[in-house]
Amino acid sequence: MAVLQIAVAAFTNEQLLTLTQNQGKTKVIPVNDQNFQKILSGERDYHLVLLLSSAVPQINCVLCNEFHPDFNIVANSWFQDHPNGLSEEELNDEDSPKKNVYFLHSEFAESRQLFQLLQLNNIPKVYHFPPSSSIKANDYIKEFDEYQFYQGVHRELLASYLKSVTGLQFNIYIPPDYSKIAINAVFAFTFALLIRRYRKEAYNIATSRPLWSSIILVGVLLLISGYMFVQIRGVPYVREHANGRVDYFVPGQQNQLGVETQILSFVYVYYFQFSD
Amino acid sequence: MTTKAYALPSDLSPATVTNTTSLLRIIALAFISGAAIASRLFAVINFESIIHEFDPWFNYRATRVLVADGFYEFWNWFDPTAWYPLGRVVGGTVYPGLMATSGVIYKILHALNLPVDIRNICVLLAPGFSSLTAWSTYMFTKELKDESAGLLAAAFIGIVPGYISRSVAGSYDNEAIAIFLLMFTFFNWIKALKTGSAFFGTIAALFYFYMVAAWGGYAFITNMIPLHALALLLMGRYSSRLYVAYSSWYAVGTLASMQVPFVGFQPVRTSEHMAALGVFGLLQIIAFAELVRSHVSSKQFQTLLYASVIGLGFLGTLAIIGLTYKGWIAPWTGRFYSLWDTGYAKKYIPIIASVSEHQPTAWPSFFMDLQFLIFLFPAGVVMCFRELRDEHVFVIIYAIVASYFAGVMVRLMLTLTPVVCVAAAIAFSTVLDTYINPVEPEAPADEAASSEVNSVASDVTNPSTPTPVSKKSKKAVKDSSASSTTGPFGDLVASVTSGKSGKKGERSFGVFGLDTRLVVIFHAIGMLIFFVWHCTWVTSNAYSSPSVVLASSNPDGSQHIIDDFREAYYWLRQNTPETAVVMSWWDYGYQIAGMADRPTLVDNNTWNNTHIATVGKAMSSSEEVAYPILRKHDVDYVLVIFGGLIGYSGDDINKFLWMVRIAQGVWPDEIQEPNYFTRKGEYKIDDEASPTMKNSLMYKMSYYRYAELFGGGQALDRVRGQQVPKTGPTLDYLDEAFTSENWIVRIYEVKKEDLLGRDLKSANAFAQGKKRKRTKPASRRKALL
Repeated sequence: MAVLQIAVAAFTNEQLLTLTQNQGKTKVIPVNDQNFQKILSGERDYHLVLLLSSAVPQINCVLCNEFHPDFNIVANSWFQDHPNGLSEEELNDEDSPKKNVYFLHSEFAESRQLFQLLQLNNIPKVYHFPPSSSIKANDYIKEFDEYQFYQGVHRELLASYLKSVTGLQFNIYIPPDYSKIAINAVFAFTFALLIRRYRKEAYNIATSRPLWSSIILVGVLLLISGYMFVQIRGVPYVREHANGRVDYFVPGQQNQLGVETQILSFVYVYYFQFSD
Repeated sequence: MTTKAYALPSDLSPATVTNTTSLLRIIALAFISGAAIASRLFAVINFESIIHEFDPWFNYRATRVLVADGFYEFWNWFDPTAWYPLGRVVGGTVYPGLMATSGVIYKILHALNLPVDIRNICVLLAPGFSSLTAWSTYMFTKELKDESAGLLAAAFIGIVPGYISRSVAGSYDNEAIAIFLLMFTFFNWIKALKTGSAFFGTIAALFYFYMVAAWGGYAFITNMIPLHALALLLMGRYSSRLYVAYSSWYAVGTLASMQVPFVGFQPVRTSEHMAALGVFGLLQIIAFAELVRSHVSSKQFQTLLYASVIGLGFLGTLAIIGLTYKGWIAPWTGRFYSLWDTGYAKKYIPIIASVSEHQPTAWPSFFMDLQFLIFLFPAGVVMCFRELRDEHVFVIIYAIVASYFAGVMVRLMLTLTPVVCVAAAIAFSTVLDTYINPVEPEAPADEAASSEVNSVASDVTNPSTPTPVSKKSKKAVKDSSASSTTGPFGDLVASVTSGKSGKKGERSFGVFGLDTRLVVIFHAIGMLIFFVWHCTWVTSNAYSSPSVVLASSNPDGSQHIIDDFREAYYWLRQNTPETAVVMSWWDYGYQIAGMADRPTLVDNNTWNNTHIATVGKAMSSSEEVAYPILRKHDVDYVLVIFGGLIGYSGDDINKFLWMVRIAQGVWPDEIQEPNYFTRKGEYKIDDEASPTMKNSLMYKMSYYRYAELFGGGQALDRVRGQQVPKTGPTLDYLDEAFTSENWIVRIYEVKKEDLLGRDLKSANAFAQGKKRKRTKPASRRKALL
């Protein structure tokens, strides 16, 4: 058994580089139950950064979905800076020898064995596997360190973490979202066309006093009944208890639930009619 | 012929009526001023004539310097004791309006041979200015509706808690005078706009200058007036009145505001002021276009207009991009971002997020601060749409903008309060006008219309609750009835009432009769009485605490004063050398400087984030790491606030995570927030607390010898409701110097380096008779090899 696993020695630096280059838009190598031994075991003269997460809806990992795009951005930015890996001078730098970095991603649904092996009971995790000379199987389980998730901008935190563990400089390039730009452009264009076509109606709408007064009324009502509080704090709509009881109001002067905004705006409207 | 609901005296000459009303108005305003001042004196009566909270202590200290040394000395004042060892150029980093105001009052009173102490002037400045605010709100509302609405608005703003919270006696802060200046500037702006008078425009500019000199929130005016002008332009309401008013305000106001050293060239460089500049430019272009149009034919003008609009737009965009790129226009400031992108501050600027005043507002605070005004407010705003004169547009814009800001930041409730009072007064006085007005509209002549109205009116039980009336019948009534009130509401009342009175034909009963009127009026008066009661209750219970002195009640209900802060500050003042540097979290910097008169490392003027982070790092690292930091900053005493014994929740352990976060922002490698949580991710101080937490200087200083107080029993932290470990932390590099009566303030002395050159830990161990662990004797020799 042991012999067999030694036989599946790790990829060489060049192999991984080609593998990365052959990936599509995101330069992250997918890891699954078929290939994880091959990738992680054995001798390495490069860094591996592995993201373990899941996009499966049953698991409903919010942080995974939040973090994964940022992970891809960091990986792509690294590849954009180093499409052919680090240069010879950098690799053989006398003072501080540097090693290449490769990014891996493992989806829980496709690599249950690996998740079991690592004894994961919560995700997402980002592991950094440093260069290693160990050739024993499964040694990678012991030789990694873990990225700590903090509040903040994930891509920047991840980049600074990687900088601290690899000693390399990570720049971040955020790709412009062309589809968003295109959609906006189409909308703006259609809107302009519509206005040009129905100039008179548009003018009537824009100068309609009832319309404006109702917009302002709704706006003011929402704002004075704590809409911004709900937006900023992200408080839940209602609070449900384990026994099925539902709270629509919470005590305290500096606290409220989402539904309170709606209730209050209706109460205010009622009073407003009453006083008018 | 109009019918009357009740008889009016008919033998009065018009002159008598005018004179009496104006006399009554003056008396009413005098009473309102009196009430405004009186309701702010709770703090002085319940406690004493003392400066409150944190920032006022700095203002007070600066005012004393101003009064003692004169204006020029104050202008050039460099304060070496703040932000030790950096110091602070006070003259150039302060809004001097408040201090100058008290200084002038002081000089005048002394010239009149009234030897009033400067402290009393400072304490009573805010109540005094609140009566002026009431007056200026009266003037402002008068321009919008009439005198009676004005009086109501003045009464509302005089006692509304939303304004009182910032202007009780002793809260000697910039806001104390700023709201008066805000309202008076707005009043002058409206007046200038209405009359097209450069005189009022200039007065507005002068008060704008005063505002700039007094409060950083002047940017609100800087953007409100341009926004109003822009809205008027978009509505096609350009007029030479607008041109004159805006140009005079902008030109004079901007030049004047640049005279304040702290503001300097900001009005032409920062984004906050760009709107004003842009609208000014736009107005010039439009004025020029109007001039050209009056001279050339309309076809030529069209071509000219198109060409110039495109050209100018292009050039303008280029210029702005170029200037921003070159760095001549300052980048968008963090405060600006945090107002628009509400997640910004949370992510990038922990120091902004840490201030509780910058938290968003939940609706209970709105209700607490404004009570029934909050639901009259939307009504008043909608009523502004009826006439929609230029000044009503102003109120509408002000309402929506201020509600947004108040929703984002609790402290900006202050800017919302005036417009709420104005709008609520408009709504309320409309109600009163309608129901007190004795004139009864005549029954509609049109039979068809009235029968249609009858069917609608029959299912109306409460006359003041409007039900949806079909547009047709509304119109029909409008055409036929000689309603004295205007607008949809008047029509509605007319429709409802005319239907009923037409049916019954009675005089003193029914919807038009005195009885229904009295029901509504009594209800309104009831609301007012309840409002006054609420305001008094809130003011006396919630907003009048000086926070320097805490009050609790004894079992028998009598008041018990907790005076730990002053006790500790006076201990510092009397028992330490004048040059002793005190380190504390920045919240207490101003108080230490003001009351203890000792140099501090950081204070509430949070201009240097790194320096604050240094203090945060010292507080959140272990003794060994913190000690060199303390010694390098010449710290002699460290002061911490600890509420665990009496349950004072605003203490340093509760603020501790912010110290960690701010320190982490600068030293992410050394300080990490998760290390301060337990394994389960809880913030705990008991046995389960994480080692990093237990070793941190803040934890040690807070709980040093705390368990001993309970004599072997379970030591309980009353704020966090957790058991404190029985063997408390030990201190090697610090010594307990002073702990106040209720343990709220604890002061530690930083030990000097050991005379024998040992590190303090081993010196301590030696003094306690502990045996030093022997190091391997071979190791030294090995190293030599």
